Amino acid sequence: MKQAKGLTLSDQNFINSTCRSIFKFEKHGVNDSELRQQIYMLGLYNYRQFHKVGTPKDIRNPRILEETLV
Amino acid sequence: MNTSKPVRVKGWIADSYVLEPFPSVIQGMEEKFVLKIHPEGGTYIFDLIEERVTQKKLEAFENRFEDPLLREMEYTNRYQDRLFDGAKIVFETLRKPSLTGNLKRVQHDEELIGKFVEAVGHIQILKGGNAFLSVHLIDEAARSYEDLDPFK
Repeated sequence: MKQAKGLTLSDQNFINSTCRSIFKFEKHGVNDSELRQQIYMLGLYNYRQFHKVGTPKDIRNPRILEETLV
Repeated sequence: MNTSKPVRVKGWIADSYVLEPFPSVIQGMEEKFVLKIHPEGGTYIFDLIEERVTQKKLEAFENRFEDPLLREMEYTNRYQDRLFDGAKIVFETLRKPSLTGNLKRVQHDEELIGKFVEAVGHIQILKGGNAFLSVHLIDEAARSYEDLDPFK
């Protein structure tokens, strides 16, 4: 049965590959701000893929339920 | 959609064989320059590239008799595209790409790892019907999402 939510094997492979790259960047001296951006993007991907909604139009807005909350 | 437009990818260099090319595993084959980028903007760029590659393949197949290199082109999935490696976008070329700005002074590929750049290249279709991205320019770049830092 197809899962309504959750990470697929392909999502997990993507996350593993991202984690490896980020650690490599850390070893090669990327600054903290860059590291935080990379980890934000990783979290965003993880959260949105789990809920099967893909990348948001505006990556600054991770919400699933509303585009913006004013 | 203009498929001859260059492909531009901004991100961090995750693997680099642009100063010391990747040795060929097949005797007699040329060495190739390889660059792998961890894109800054998430997965949308992967979808965008795939969409442009599909369009370019269709165009190449329709016009295959005009290009002697593609006359025998097949439109099958027999050969895999060489666009991505996990979460990285792969560029490869037989001609050494140009590096700009401070990147010109770099002596070894190892020093390029973690540098934030914009790679500029094109979608290339092989006669087996598969695609890869070439790269001709590696520019120093500024991040587009610096404001994503929550502690800034």
